[in-house]
This record gives sequence, structure tokens and C-alpha cells, in this order.
Amino acid sequence: MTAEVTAGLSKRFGKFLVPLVGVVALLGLDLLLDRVVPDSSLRQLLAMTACNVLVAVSLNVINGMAGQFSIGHAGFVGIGAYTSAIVASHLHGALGGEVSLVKSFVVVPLALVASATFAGLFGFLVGLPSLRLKGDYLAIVTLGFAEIFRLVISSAQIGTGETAGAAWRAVRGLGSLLHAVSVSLSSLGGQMGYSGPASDGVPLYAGPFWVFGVTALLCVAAWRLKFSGWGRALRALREDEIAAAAVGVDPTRYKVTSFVLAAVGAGVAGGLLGIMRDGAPSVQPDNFNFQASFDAVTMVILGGSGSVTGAMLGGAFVTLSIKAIEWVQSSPLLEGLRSEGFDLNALRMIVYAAILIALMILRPEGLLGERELRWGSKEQPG
Amino acid sequence: MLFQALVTGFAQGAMIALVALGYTMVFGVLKMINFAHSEVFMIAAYAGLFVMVGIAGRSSPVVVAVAGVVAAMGAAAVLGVLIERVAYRPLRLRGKGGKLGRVTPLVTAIGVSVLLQNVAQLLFTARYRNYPRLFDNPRPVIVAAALLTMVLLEGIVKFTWFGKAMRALSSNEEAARLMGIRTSRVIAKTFALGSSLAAIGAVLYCFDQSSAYPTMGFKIGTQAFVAAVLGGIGSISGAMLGGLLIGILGELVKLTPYSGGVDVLVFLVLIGVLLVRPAGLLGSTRAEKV
Repeated sequence: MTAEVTAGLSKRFGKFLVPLVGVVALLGLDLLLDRVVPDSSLRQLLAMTACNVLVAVSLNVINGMAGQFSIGHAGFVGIGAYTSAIVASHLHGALGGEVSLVKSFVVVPLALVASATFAGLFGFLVGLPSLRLKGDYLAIVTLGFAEIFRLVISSAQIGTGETAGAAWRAVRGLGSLLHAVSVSLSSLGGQMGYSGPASDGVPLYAGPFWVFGVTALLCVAAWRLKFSGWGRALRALREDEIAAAAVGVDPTRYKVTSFVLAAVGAGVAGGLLGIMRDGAPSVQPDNFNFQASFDAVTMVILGGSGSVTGAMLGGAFVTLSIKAIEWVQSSPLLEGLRSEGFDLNALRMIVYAAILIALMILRPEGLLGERELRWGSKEQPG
Repeated sequence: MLFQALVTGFAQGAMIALVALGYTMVFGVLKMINFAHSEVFMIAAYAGLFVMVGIAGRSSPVVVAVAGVVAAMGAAAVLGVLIERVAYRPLRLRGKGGKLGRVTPLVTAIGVSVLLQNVAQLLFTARYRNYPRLFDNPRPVIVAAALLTMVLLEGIVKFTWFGKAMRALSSNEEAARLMGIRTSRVIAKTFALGSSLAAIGAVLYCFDQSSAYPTMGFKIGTQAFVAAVLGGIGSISGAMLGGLLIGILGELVKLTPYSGGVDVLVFLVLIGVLLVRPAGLLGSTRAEKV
């Protein structure tokens, strides 16, 4: 009897033990990372890696699990980044004082929730066409959405808003609405990027606690999602839509939900990118261009479409290679090459594109396929 | 001002239509979007540029222009066939279907596009290269050349054996093969033809815009793609109509204060068409699942 109670207790305690240890470890990491890793660019790399892992894992929900295809994921990331930067700057102004860990418990959750909500809303909008469009066409729509987002933000500069509004004011109602929209858009800094309402930099609240903690949490969520009933239904839908619908899987609901979930993940990743400690204090529209979307696709396909751990590996690998090339490019060793206009980033893109083409021809399911990396000898479920 | 914009838009639209034809023809025979088409356009612009700069001043402008167009067409045709051979044919031979059947050609096409764009960046560097100024007012030349090309294309598609084979392949690949059409050869020829049309468009575009750069394909490629979808992808007259509409629409937008919004508008048109009438203006309304 008592043995049973203690067993139950320890089981219940064990359930809380892992997250508890995790939170304590993350708090310790938040306070100590500066001392363990003194190089701030290295810390930035670690945080970037975590964010990109999140980008890859969220894109994997659409491209891998649902079998849809999005090449506009950077758009959702961008929406998240702008939203969290705006929310954090205004909260920072309202709270006053310095950036601190204690205050980050107010600012970061609010900023991330705003990012997730906003990105999810756009994910819903982009997901709606996925009911009528498939394959190439859906890809084009997602690309179109991401480009519209980037072009609208970067072309809305102070001044354009004013003249455009003036021209439209003749049309009552619609005109003033457009005017308001273009003025508020132009406050986002256009091509130069957003760096707070007073252009004094976005407050960087999200320390390692938030960046790594949220990433870990959402990766676990993605894993649970894949092996849940929802994930199985999604896979059934991917394999054969008509058969899945016949056994009661509603394609509309599942497709749109997968878009919304992926967008929420990307929004949170962007939200972290926008306000992460050691990051840049401004959000640039050109960080969310087609190349960024293509990088995200590369991450997912390299690892294996449908594999959560594969997407994580792909995200980490691509980020590290981007940074490695930036470092090599800026090193004095390459002075001679650089003066001849040798573009290492172009070389990286060539290599990635070639790998993608070769993978598609030789092994279209990616390195891991749908398998997951696991510790221990558990059976592959599903 | 409005008339001027219409004329400019017509010239722009004629060029866009030439590029759009390549998208639409490849879609007709392969049922896939050749994203690398915009990069073929860019490489052709460079090929034409190098030849024209090489022989400019030595002969009359017309000869130089024709030499440039021919060189660009040759380079584009070779590149188009090469892309089909290396990247698309292995996928096709493996057969369609499978759980990633729709995604695989798409990723390959985007991969080829990114590859070519960065190869150009590496080889030619990112700087803008100016085209030689051969004509004082290139617009009439552009319109005349584009219209002539379209008439010729209509002739090829309607009256030659190859055109017939292409149309047969487009309507039913299996039946076409059973009737003795060598589908692989027709597909390769279609790529060559579509790419050379893009090359003509590229050289004409550069006469108008006067410079070539590695990312030039993205903008014009998007507009051409939207034109093809707007007209009804797979339909040749649709691509021409769509190109003209996009060209004129773009010029009209430039009259408003939102002159920077052309690209946004092009994407909005695309999304709108896909949602309301995915078959496009002249496409068959027969239920084709897209």
C-alpha cells in the first residue's frame, strides 16, 4: 500500500521533474551564458540557431506533415519579428528603465503572444487558398504573400504615406482608411528597418532563457503533434485526400489548421529573432526575402520532409553554414578574393541548390525521410 | 499622358508576353511550372549583351541587334534543353505519383532557378551592365519584333508537325506516345523553343531598360508568370493577352502615387485570379484540378 503511494508520488513528481530541471537550467544559462561564452557573436549564433530550428520545425508542419508546399515562410517570420519588436519597444517605453531578466517575464510573453496571434491570423488567410490550390499554385500564392509583405513594408517610407493619402483623400472613407494604413506602415521605417518608435533600437529582452526555452517547448509540441491523432489524420490526408475524407478526415479543417499552426510557429520564431539578446537592434525587411524562404525550405528538405528531428538538424546545419561563410568572408585570409568580387554567399547558394536538385533526383524524401532520431531502442510509432 | 502610358504598356506587355509563352508552353507539355525560366531569360540577356558589346560599332545597329538576338536565342535554347535534361528528365522517367509526387518537381525547379541566379552572380558579379544603345527610340522596334515573333509562333504551333505533336502531347501524353510521337524529343524541343522566345524577350527588354544584372529574372519572370496564369496557363493566345494586360496595368499604376506598388499589384492580381478563376481568362473551364 505505502509502496504504491510512493510509486505514484514519485511518478507524479517525475512528471514535473523534467520541466522543473529544464526551467532551472535555462535560468542558470540565462545568467551564466555571458561568462561561459564571452564572444557575443558566438552567443548570437547560438540564439539564431535556436530560432532557425523553430522556423524549420514549423515549416515542416506544412511541407512535411501536411504535404502542402509553402515557399513564403519568411513572410510569417517577418510578421512575427515586426510584431514583437513593436510590442516590446512600446512596453519598454511604458515600463521605463533598463532591460532586465525580471521585466522580460512581462515583456517577452506578451510580445510572443502578439507575434503568434498576428502570424497565425495571416496563416489563416494564406491557408484558405490551400483548399482550392495544390502544388505549384499554392507555392506561388505563399511566395506572393511573403513578397507582398516585404514590398509593402519596404516601400512604405515616411512621405509616400503622406502623398498617397493625400491623393486618396478625395475618396471619402476608403481614402482616410488607406491614409491611416499607409501612415502607420511608413512608421515602420521602410527599407531602413524598424528600430523602435524613437529609432533608438529595439529593446532586446529575449535572453537565452526565452530563446532556448521556447524553442525546446515548441519542438516538443511539434513532436507530440506528429504522433497525435491530429498528425496521423494529416498524414492520411497527404497520402490520399479522397480516401482520408471518406473515413471522416475533414480536409478543409486540417489543411487550414496546419497552415495556422505553422504560421504561429514561424511567428514565434520571428518574435524571438526580433528581440533576442545579442541580436541586431533593428528589424530589416530584407531579412525576410525569398532567399530566407528558400533557406527554410532547404532546412526542411535536407533533414527529411516530415521528420521533426530532421528539421531541427537541418535548421541548425543551415544556420551554422550561413554564419561560417560570413566569418570566412570577413576574414583577412580572403582579402584577395574579395577584392575580385568573389561572392562566397553565392557559392553557398549554388551548393545548396545543387544538393537540393540532387536530393530530389536521388532521394526525394530527404536525408532522414520521415524517420526520427531517437535515443534508446523504441519502436518507430505510426 | 494616358495615351503615352498605354503605348509604353503595350511595348512592355509584348515583351512580358514573349517570356510568358515559355512558361505556358512548358506547362502545356509537362504540367509543371518551370521556375528556372526567369533565369534562362537573365542568362540570355547576358549572352546577347556580350555579343553585342563585342561587335558593336563594327557594323550597322540592325546587324548588331540581330546578332545579339541570335546569340541570346542560341544560348537560351542550349540552356533550356540542358535544364530539362539534367534536372527534369530524371524525375519524369522515375514516374509521377508517390507521396511527394507534386512537390519534387517544384523543389527541383526552384533549385535550378536559385542555382543559375547564383552562378550568374559568381560569374558576372552583381553589378549592372549597360546595354549598348543601338536605337534612339527602341519602342517601335520592340513592338514590331514581339508581334512578328508571336505570329511566327502561331504558325509553328498551328501548321508544323512539331506544333501538332506539341499540342497532342499537351492534351494527352499517353495517347500521343501511342501515336508514335517521341515525347522526350518533343519536350526537349519545346524547352528550346520556349527558351529562345524568352531570349528574344530578354534582348528587347534590355533595349528598353538598358542594363543586365543577375537578379533581373525575378521581377520580369514573376510578371510573365502572372501573365501566363492570368491568360490561362497552357493557352498560347492566353499568354499573349495576359502579357499585354499586365504590361498596360503596370504602366497605368505608375500614373498613380503608388508607383512603387507595381510588384505588389502583380502578386495581388495573381492571387485574385487563382482564387476566382484558376483556369485564367482564356483557359478551359473544364474542371482541371490545380
